[in-house]
Amino acid sequence: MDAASLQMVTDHGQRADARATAGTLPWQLAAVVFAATSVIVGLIWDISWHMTIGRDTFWTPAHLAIYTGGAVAGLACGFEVLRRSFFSGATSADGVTVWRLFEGPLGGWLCIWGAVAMLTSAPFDDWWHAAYGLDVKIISPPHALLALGFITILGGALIMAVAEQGREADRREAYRRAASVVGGAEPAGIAPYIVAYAGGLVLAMLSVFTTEYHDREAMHLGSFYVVSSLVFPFALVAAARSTRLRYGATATAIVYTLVMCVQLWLLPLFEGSPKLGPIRTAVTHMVSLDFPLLLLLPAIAIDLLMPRLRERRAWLQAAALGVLFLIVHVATQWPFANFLVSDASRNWFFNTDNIPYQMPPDWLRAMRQFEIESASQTVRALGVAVVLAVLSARAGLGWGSWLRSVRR
Amino acid sequence: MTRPGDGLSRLGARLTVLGGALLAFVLLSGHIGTNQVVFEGQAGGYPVRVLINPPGVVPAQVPITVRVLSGTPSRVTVRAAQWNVGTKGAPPAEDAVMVPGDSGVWAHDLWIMTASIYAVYVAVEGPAGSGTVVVPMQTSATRTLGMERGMGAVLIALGTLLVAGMLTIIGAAVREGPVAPGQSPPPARVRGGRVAMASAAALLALALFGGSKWWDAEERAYQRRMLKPIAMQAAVRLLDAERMLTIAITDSLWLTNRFAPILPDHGKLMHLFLIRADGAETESALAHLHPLRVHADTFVTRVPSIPAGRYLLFGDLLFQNGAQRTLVDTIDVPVAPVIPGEDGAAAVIVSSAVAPVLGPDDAWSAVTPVSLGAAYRLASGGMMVLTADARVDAGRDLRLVATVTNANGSPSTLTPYMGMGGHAMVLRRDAGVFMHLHPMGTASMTAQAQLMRRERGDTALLDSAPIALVMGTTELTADVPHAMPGMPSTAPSALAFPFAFPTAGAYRVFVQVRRNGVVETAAFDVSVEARGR
Repeated sequence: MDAASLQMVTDHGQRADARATAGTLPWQLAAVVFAATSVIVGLIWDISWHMTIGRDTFWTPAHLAIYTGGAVAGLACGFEVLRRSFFSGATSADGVTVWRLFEGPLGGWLCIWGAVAMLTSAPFDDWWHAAYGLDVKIISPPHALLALGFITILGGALIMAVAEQGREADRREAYRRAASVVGGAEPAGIAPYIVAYAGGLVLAMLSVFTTEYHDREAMHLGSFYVVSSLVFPFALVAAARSTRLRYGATATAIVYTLVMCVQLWLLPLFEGSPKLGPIRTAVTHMVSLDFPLLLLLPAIAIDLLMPRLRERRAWLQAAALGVLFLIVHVATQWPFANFLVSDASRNWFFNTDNIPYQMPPDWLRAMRQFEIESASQTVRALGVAVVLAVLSARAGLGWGSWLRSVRR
Repeated sequence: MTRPGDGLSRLGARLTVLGGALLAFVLLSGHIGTNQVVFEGQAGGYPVRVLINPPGVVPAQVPITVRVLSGTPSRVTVRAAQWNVGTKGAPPAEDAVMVPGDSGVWAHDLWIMTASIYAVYVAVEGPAGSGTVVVPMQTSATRTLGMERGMGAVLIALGTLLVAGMLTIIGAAVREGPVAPGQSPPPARVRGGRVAMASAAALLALALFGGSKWWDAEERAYQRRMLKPIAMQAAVRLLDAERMLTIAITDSLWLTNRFAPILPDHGKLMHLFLIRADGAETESALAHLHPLRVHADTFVTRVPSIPAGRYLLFGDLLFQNGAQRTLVDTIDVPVAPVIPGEDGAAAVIVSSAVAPVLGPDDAWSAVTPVSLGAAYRLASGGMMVLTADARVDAGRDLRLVATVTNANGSPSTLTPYMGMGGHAMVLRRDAGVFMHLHPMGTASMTAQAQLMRRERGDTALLDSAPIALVMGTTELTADVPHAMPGMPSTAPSALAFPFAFPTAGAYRVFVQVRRNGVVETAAFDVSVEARGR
């Protein structure tokens, strides 16, 4: 390597170094991470709203948070696409092309798609309510379209973060090669932490969507672990594989746990009472969602095991990781459930008296008793859960590897 | 999962089918064709007329209009308490606001989440004295809505964009996603992108198909929740040379006791109206009868001496939870059998069959309707004039005032007929609307009393509390010297029926009053315009 080209590599490395530190990330990454946060805050707030106040309009703060997320993500990425496609002379070519005309970051395209989907759901939802009534069900086709929109925005934020993480890793690799010639310390990047944060938000959203199957009184049912095995090995294994951190799954699970704890501790501080009958339980403060699942522990186990399996075949890895997840999950969540249904959990920290206004007060008793099934049913369900956990982990490996490879 | 694309295949069919469903707007509830309630009462120092107009979907926002008939209150609030939880389980009262340009009218939309029976509390505060009226209301899903062409087109366009966009993004992700910036994707990746797009298209098509099925399932579920007429069979048979009408309820919900028990209204379990549906346009006949419940599911009455022919049948029932439902059918009444008497003249044989003889509260009459504002010549002499105190527009609340005079022109003295000052039956000529009203409005006084008694009595928050004592309304109303709201407390010669014609069309209003112990029936034709401007 001659001096000139060495100088060039070093310059490149310094530029990369400068970009890799906080504050110099692509601004639209900051925008979509903010948007994803706003969506999750709005989603949790909206569910709490429906458990406490009951009726809503377009203009509730929870709805505004969701739509702000959509608008910020759509506008930021739309602006970036237009800038790159028509107003940027340079052929930077670190995005993907759509319809041979437009160029933009892959995650940005997903955010734009999500924003358009959310936009489409608005008139559709309006018509739906006029035809079939206001919110007969939370899960209706227009709401599913809305949810698909913000799921895609969260996915877009995650992909934009992993692309930055990948490019950062490439820059560091280049820097390291140069540095091996000229010497110097390896710069640290923050992109992996952004990936863990975005992954944590995705995990929080998955847990919210499956919350119906994760009631504490169901924690001794096989079906509880079937649903867990379907969803969480995928998310945690993908996090461990895609995040360039030694404890990627753990970091992701920490974000999830913090999000769910913060809502659990903050929401009940605010006053709120029902505005829709029939009111069966007098509620005076915002009702929160449940205490988070103990996903942190299987996440740590996955992070510990994964490096030891690196050379193995993917299916073998998936089998080991899936079974490990289920064992740790059952071994921790099952006994913890005994505590959650006990009176000892009725305090601000665990907040297990979070009864919605439309439920009769004696439902609190149901919330403190396990639903029961025969042992054979549980065993059969756990058998299904093992299979699902392995399949889910395999899908997580594939998805995580692809995420790790994304550069655009 | 998203709907847009399958809109392509389904919207056209949906537009026509739902459009047809909208036309078949035959809605059945306490009153036929509408859940609208008009009520007049005294809220503290303020006489008020309350108009409640539940839309045909549930959940929904229900418009409540309160017309203060005299005085200027400082505040009007409304509140809806579901019958089974009462005010203890009701959200707080909400402020109505004065309608600009319509002095004395206050309005508010109340959120209703479930199809049920509600007590609507209208509270009026002001210098003349504060007070509350309780208005029974029932909500039910009675309609579905078609999708407008423009809206359909917009949704199809956006849906197509979303499908095409998603496929493009998936293709681009696989083709270029992992390629380092500045480099072109290798041919293998280009091929991979195409394969990914094709697989994604197949998956998306499957998802859209699933979404379409889902929409269909939601539609069916909604249709199931829609209020349906109570299934029944009615027929007139000759029994001992007497025309006997049997009404047998065959509804599966009824047969499995999923209706609340029925409750007498004005002392009668069923108010049956037979209205002639054939014959000359300018003539009709009305019978207001009270069949005997001879069996849990069967009601029987003799058919009085009304002309043979085809009749519309409306049977009003009131349930203990305050719900009002109407049985609907069309029956053919045969010619009354006539047997020659001893002197050779025709004589009707009165049988001693199971059904009791018709009572003094049963009334029937052939009528020759006159138009609104004209004088109707009553059967036993004198006149009745029916006027409206406001322009007769669809949806406008007003009073229909019946003024009765004797043959010599002096004002008649009216006495209560089944505890009410009078009864009026409103029929849209196409039979799409039928309502039964009184000087307090279209709400049932017994339903109102029932809701208030429940509110006062029990402390249970849940649906389980039974009604301890079922009282006939005669006990509630017979002792009250018909001090009906909006009427002078002395024996009146005029009656005011608060009402709002729910839709435009040709209506026939039958009015029944009791004078000198005889029930008089008059009929008036009213043409109702769509609300102007």
